[in-house]
Amino acid sequence: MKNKKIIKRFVVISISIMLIVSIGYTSVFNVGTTTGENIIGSITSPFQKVFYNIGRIFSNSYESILEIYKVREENEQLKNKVYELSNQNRILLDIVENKDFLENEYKMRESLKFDYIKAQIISRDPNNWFQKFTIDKGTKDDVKRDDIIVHAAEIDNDLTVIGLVGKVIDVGSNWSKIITITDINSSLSFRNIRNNSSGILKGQIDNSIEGYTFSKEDDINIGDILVTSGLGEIYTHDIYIGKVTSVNTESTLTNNIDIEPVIDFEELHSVYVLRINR
Amino acid sequence: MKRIFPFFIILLSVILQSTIFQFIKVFDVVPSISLIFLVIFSIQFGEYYGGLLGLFLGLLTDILYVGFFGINTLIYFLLGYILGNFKENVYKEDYLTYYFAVGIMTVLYNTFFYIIIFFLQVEINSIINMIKPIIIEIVLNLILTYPILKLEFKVLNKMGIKLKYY
Repeated sequence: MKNKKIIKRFVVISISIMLIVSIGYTSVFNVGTTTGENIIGSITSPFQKVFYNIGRIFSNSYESILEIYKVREENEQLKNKVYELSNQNRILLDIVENKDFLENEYKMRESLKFDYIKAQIISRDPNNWFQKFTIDKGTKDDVKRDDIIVHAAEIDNDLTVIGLVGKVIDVGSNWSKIITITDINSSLSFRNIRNNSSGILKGQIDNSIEGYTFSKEDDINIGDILVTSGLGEIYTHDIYIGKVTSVNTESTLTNNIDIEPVIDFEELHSVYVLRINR
Repeated sequence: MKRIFPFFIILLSVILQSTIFQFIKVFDVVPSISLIFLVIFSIQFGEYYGGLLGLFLGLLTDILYVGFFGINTLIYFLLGYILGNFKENVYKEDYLTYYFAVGIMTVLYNTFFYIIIFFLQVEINSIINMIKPIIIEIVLNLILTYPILKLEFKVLNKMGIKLKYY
């Protein structure tokens, strides 16, 4: 009896130590997708897709019942907005066409070609600590590690990027894991489009984003629009991240800022994967 | 069949929690039904089962979601094992036992998680922000424990598994 107890404790302790080593190892080294991971992911992902869609249908119908009264009013407002925006757009196009130097920039952007694929979110991290989710596209659809995930609207076969969501961290045959920019393990560099100053943003535990500017002299205000700077190896430049909601200048070296991302991650159900040839 | 049954339930709970339950978030917090099931099965079936189920649940979560492999496996394994050791000393027919266990286990899970992440040097400069979600999670878990237990007792009855009184 006593012997049994010792064996039991020995097993528990050795399993624990193995797991601790595994945690340490995977946090330092990049293991990539293992075969077991791929198989289990491939088996569960169709089920997850079904359940996720069931949940979505229920929550959608619940919300649409609540919002049925608002819809007409909103429609009217949106129509007016469309007129207003198309007017603005025409004016802007006029300006753009008259400026030669913009042509160079345009050519440069043309050269950076990426194709995209629409993907659906099939499950989210069950844990409240991380902001990760899986999508229903993987190596079968040429999704690679470090591909960029954006929220976008597809109009006339042309992709209009609405905002940055995150990047691919792990790929299986018919699934990939996405880490969002609000996750604590995620950080990226930004550019302030008002004055081209830049800095770093980091996800927080409560799913907000905080950041700081590189230099104390950089002028940054509430309401400034931030886009990706293109520094670093992963995110391409000029993807909309969000707006500054508060600025703290108390620190002696940097200005600390809070960001409100343009995307509501809770309402996000389908995303676009930008497949970039690096 | 009786032995594999809890594993199926755990698998189902992980899938449900990452899909449908994501739509019924309360203040951005998802209730942890897989933890509730782990607690219930550990108390009812003892430390061997608790440990095994914990390993299974943790492996699933780690493989399907988390970046650092082993973090959930370690926590769930230890929780299941430790809780299973109390099998002989608690009233398994009493709902209060389960409420108590679920509350404590939710706190322990999050505390362990914080400690491990802290040692992995993931920067968390606002632990205070995490206290509110944990409290909400405890409340949600406790609310969900009741229907789950009721259902579970019914299923156990149907399958002819009897819990021993102590």
